[in-house]
Amino acid sequence: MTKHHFPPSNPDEQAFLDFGDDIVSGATPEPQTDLESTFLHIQGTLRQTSAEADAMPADLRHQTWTRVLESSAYRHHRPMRLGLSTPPRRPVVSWINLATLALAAAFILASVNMWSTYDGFDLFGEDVERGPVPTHDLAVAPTTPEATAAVSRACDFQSSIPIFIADEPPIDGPALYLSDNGDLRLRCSTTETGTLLEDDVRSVETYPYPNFVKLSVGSGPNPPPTLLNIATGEHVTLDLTGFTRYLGHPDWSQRFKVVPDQTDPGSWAIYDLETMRHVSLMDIGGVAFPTSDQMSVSMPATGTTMAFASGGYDSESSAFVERLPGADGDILVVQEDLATSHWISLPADFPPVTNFTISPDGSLLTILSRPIMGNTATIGLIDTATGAELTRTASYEAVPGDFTMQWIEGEQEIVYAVGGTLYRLQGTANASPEVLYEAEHKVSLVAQMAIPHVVHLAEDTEDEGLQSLIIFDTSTDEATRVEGKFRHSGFASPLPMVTPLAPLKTQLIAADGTRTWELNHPVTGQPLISAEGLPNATPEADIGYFMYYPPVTTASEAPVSIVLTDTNELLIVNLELAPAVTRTIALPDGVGRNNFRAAQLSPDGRSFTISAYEDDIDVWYLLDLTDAQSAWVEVSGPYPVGFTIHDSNQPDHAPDSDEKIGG
Amino acid sequence: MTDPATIELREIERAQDNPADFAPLYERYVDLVWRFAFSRLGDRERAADATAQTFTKALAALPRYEPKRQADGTTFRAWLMMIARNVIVDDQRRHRETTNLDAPAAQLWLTDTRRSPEEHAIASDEQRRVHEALRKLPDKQRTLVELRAQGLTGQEIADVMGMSLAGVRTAHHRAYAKLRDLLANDFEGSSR
Repeated sequence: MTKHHFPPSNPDEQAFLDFGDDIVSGATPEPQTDLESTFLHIQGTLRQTSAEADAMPADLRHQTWTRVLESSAYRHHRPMRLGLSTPPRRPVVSWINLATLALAAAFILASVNMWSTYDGFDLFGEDVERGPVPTHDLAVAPTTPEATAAVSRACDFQSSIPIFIADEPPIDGPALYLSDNGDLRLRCSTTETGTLLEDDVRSVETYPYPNFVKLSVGSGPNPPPTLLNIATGEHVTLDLTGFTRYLGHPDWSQRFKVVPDQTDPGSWAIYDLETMRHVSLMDIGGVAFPTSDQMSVSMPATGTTMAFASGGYDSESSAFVERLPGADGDILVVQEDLATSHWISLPADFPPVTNFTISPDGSLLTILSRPIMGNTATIGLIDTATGAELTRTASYEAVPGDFTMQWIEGEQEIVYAVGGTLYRLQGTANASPEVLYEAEHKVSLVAQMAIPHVVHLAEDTEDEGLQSLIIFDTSTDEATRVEGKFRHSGFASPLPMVTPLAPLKTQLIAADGTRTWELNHPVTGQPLISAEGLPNATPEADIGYFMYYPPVTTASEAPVSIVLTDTNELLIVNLELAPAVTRTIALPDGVGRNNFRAAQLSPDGRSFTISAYEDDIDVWYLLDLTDAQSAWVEVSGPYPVGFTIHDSNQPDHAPDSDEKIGG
Repeated sequence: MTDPATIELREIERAQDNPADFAPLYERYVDLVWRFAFSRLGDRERAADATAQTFTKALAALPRYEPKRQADGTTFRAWLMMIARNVIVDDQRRHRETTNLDAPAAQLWLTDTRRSPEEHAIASDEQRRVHEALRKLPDKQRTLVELRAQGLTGQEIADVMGMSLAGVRTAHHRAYAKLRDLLANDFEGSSR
C-alpha cells in the first residue's frame, strides 16, 4: 500500500497543535484525522502507567530533595569579610565571626523552617492530603572512617583549587582532576602529573567544608557518597542507602553531619568532619533519637552550640517539638566537643513549639509557636545555659505571611514584624516587646544580611507585588526609605533566610509607567549602579538581569558582588568603595544573556567561571580575577568546573611524591 | 477561592525569598521532571541525578526568574523543564551514549503492572514498536513528543526547547507524521 501525504498548510499544523493542546489539557475530542489518531495512540502508549514511571520512588524523591537543599546551602556559604561601619551601640564580636554566625543562622533558620513547612507543602490549597511524611526506617550508618596519616603535599590549601573532569588539567597551577579512567589526582604544580588520591571514581564535586570533596566511588549501582579530605587523605563513606525520610535538618552545617547511628541505624548520631568522629546522640543525651520520628536541629556553622529535638504532627499538620520518652527535657543542647550537653524543658504553658533557633553566639534559644494553618504567633526567649525562660510575647493574631522574625546581628535580641509594626525583644529577664517602627501597610522582614544592627523591611504598597524597601538601623532607630519600589513577596517566611551581603535591587517607576532598575547599597540605601550608569546601556534597557554573588574578598580588593547586566557585561561591584563598579568585564565572544547558563566565583575570590550553551553543549570559561589583564580561558567541554573550599587555617605542606593515599 | 496560577505565583515569590519555601514547587513538579529524565536517560540513578541537578539549578536561578501567567497556569513549569532538558543533554553528552531502551530500567518505564499477562504482552509489544519508532526521529522531534507525553502544551514546549511557536507547530506536525509512517511501515513490514 502506498501512502500519499500532501504538505500540510499552516492551518493544518495549527489545528493539529491545538488538538494536542486540548488533549494534554484534559479534553477528549474525537480524532478527525489519521494524524490525530496517531497522536492519541502515541500519547496513550507513552503515558502507560507504572509505579516506577508515574512517580519518583520515595527514596529517590527524598534523597534528591536533601541534595537540592545541601547544594543550596553551599551556594550561600562563602567566607565573608566586611568593613562596613555602623555605630555600635554595645560591644560586638568581630565581623568575621558575625558573618560566620549569621550564615550559620541562615542554615538553621532554613532548616528549621523546612521542617515546619514540609508537611502537605501547601499553605494555600485546601485539598492537600496532610499527615506525617512517609518513613522507611532503613537507615544505614556511616562506614568506619578510613583515616590515614596526613600526607603532606606542595599544594597551597589556603586557596581554592579548581576541580575538572579532564585527563589533564586545562590550566596551569594547582588542580584536582578526574580522568576518564576514574583516577582522581591532585596536581600542585604545573610540572607534576599529580598525586593519585583515589581510583575507580565516578564523580567528584565540591563539598562545603575546607579541603573536602564529595566522591562517588565504585561501579555498583548508586554508591554511597564518600567525603575525602584532599589535604590529609582521610575519607569516610556516609551510607544512607535506603534512608528515605526527610530530615528536619537537611545537613546545612559544614562541620557536623546528622547521620544514622553506626551501631544502631534506627537512631541518630552526629559525624564530625573535623575529627572524623562519629558520636551517637544516645551517648550524648542518654536517650535515642529514633530515625522514625521527625527531628529538628539548630546548628550554627561554627558548631559551638547545637540543639536537637524530636517532634510529631498535630491535626493541622504543624510539626511541633515533642519530648522523647525517658528524656530529661524537650530540647537537647550539645557543645561542639560532642560530649558536653544538657536538656532544656519547654515552659509547660507555652503553646506547641513549631520552630526553635539558637542565637548566633549560642547563648539564647528562641522558641516559636507558629502553626502553619493557624492564625497566631508566640515567641519566647530561653537562656541556653540555664534553660530558664527569660521572656515571651503575647500571642499575636497573624495570618500566614503577617509574621516574620530574625536575630539582630551582634545583639542579644530579636526583631519581629507583625502586621504593620516592627518590634524588638531583648533577651533579658521579663523584657517587654518594644515598638521600633509602625507603618501604614504590612511590613515583612526580608532576607537577612549579616550586617550589625541593620534589618531590611518590605512595606506593602498600592502596587500589587511591589513594596517599599526600608533599611532600619536598630542602633539608632532610624529608618531609611529607599527610592523606588522593591519586589518582595507578601508571603514572607516567619524566619527569613540569611543571605550574603549584596546590593538591593529596586525599580524606578516613571510617571508614564516606564520602569528602570537600580542597585542600592544594603546599608545606606544609596544608588550603586543604575541602567543609565552602564557604559553600554541602551535607552530601551528595562529591568536588568542580575546575578548576585556572595561577597568574596578578592586577592586585590574588598568584598565584591558580581552582576550580569542586560548589556552582557559582568560588573565587579565593590560594596565598600566609590565608585561601586570597580571593573567591567566583557563576556567571552559568543556568550550573552541568551545562552548564559551558570557562573561561579571561587570561594577565595581569585577565579570566576561561567558556562554558556553553545552548539548544544555547555562550554566553560575561567577568568583569573587577580590579574586585571587576564582573558577568559576555555577550560573544558560540557563538564562543570568546581572549586574546593580553601582552609584559611591550613598550613602549607612540603612537596611529596605521587603516592596513592587514603585508599 | 484563589486560582492555581495565583497560588503558584505566591509560592514562587516565597521561594525566591527563602529557599526552604521551594518545597511546594519541588513537590508539585518533581514527578514531572523525573518522568522526563527517566524517559530520556532510561537509568534510575542518572534520572535521579538529573532531577536533583534540575531543581538545584532552578533554586539557584530562582531569584532572577520572573514568573508570568500562561494559560491556566504560570510559565514556571516550562522554565523548569527547559532546565531539565539542558541537564539531560549534558548528562547524555557526558555519558557519550544514547538512552538504552532495552535496559531493564527503561523497560520499567514501559511496564503497566495493572494489565493481565496477555494484555501486558500485547501492550509491551506495542510499546516496543512505539519506542523503536521514536528512536528513529531526529532528537528535536523526539524530545518534542516526549514533552507532549509529559503533558506540556505547544507554548510550553516552545519555551522549553527555545523555539518559536511556529517552529513547534511545524516540528510537532512532522514528528507525528513521521511516527505515523514509521508505525504503518513497521506494521506492513511485520505483516509480510
